[in-house]
Amino acid sequence: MASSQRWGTRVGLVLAMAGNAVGLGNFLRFPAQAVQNGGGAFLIPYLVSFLLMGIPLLWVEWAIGRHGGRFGHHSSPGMLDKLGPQRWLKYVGVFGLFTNLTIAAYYCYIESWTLAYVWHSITGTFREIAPTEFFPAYLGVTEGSMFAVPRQAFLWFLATLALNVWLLTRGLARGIELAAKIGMPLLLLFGAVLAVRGLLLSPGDPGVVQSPFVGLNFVWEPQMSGLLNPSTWLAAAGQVFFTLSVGMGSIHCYAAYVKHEQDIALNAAAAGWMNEFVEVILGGTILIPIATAYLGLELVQAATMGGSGFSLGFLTLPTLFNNWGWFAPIAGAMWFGLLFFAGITSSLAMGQPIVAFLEDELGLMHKRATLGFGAATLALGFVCVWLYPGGSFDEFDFWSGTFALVAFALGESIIFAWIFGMERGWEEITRGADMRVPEYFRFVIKYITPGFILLVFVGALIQPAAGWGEAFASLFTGGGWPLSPSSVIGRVLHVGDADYRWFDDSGGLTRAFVQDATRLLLTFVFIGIALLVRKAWRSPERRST
Amino acid sequence: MTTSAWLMLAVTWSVITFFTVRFFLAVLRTPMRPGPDGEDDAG
Repeated sequence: MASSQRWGTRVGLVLAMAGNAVGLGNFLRFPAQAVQNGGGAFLIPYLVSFLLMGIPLLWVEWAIGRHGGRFGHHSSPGMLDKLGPQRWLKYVGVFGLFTNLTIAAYYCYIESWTLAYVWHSITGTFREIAPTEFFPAYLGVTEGSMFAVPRQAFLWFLATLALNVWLLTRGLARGIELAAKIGMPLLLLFGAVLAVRGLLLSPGDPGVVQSPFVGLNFVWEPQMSGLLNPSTWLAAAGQVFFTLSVGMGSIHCYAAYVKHEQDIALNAAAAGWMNEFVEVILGGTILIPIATAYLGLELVQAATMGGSGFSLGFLTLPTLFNNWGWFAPIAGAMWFGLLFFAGITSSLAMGQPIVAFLEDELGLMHKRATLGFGAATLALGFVCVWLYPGGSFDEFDFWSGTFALVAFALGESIIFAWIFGMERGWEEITRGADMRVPEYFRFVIKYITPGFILLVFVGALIQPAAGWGEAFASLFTGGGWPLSPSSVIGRVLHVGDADYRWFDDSGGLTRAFVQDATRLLLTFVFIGIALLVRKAWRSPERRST
Repeated sequence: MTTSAWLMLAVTWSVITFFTVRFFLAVLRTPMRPGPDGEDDAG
């Protein structure tokens, strides 16, 4: 039963797409990546990657989506199936369901943290308890057991998931579009207020040790040596990739509700650039300058080591806001409120493809399909909540939120350019376009974009423990490739885990067991979705059409 | 802030703001084309 839903307005569609792309990473990951990868010099490879990989991939995904929607497919298996005669194409589309479902499971959990933090900011919890004490207890990592259920965290997760399901039940125009039309302007407003307030701090204010402009300078000071470092380019390409929410199947799904003759080129460009505005201009102006003002640059650099601003955002900022007097609860509510809006507009985009698949390919009614998504997300999300101390959450994040995205984007970019073909592909991108798409993007989409993604993919597979230069030097001098424990191969082989075993001396289960069990679960989820796709394509109804 | 940091910030912000505003205004000003009749049921 193909869905007959449509977007209510064009602005609503663009805001929903931008909301899909704008996520917590815009505010937490981007500034940390910029700080760790050459400051202002990071922005050059970042913008080059955006133009050569980000924008082309957006056009490719919008084109695949609108093309599939014409045939009544609003999820990736059906869309990819329509790109060529090969029967295996629909199974590449399984990635587009797998990533959305499994990312939604842990993303809704993170989203629920932001909602809980809004509440605790308003009620003044962080005036009494430091977030460094509050957060571990909230997550259940202080319980002394890997299997203790953190009740408060689980309740907030349930509330967040229920809100997502309710909005999805209301449909595209009255649910997703409404959330984007409310959430995106508020996000921009909150971001602008916090950025201005942060930059107005001066060393004479209580608790301020440095000018926030020292932090801003650190983000923007060009260090051109970084341009010659392959790690900087890989980090920039990776950041562009993850910030745009490409390789997930959610852009495809939203675009599938656009009519055959309607524009996708301008809509995609508008949504993509809006994401950049939020990320670079707002995201780069809140976390680092405020944290630098109160902590000093050295501590901020240490806190962003590893390229994530998560600890600064959740553990440090709520305490720093306490210096802002009466404005502290409002600032906290604004900061976590903007993170919540960034999160929910993304998690809705993850839910819709699953709902669409259940409706289109398995014939479920809309309400049942949304409840089906809710039940599956609850089951998988519970694993993340319950086994967070054991590392289950990290496994979801890595295999679904990092590896599977890049794998799917690589597959779809090759299928689009080389199986569907650039002639048809270009016609699909430019049909009904309300902007002139430069002709050289034909070449870019066919060669450069897949090449860029391939580099990111290989980079993730064999990421070295030290820099790339040192790794190649080690390889050519016979020292072997120093594989990082966080590379794909390193994770599979448990590199760096000297004491790898499933049971400890007392017979209890270890973290390695939880990690491996989570990987097995994710594998079963992937196979399960593939079997559902197989079942859908073998149904008598489909055979007769 | 150093001059080079200000310059980098100003150029990047200008480019991003220019394209964001330009494309978003174009979206606001260009109405969506109506699809052919019955397209909703295509497929």
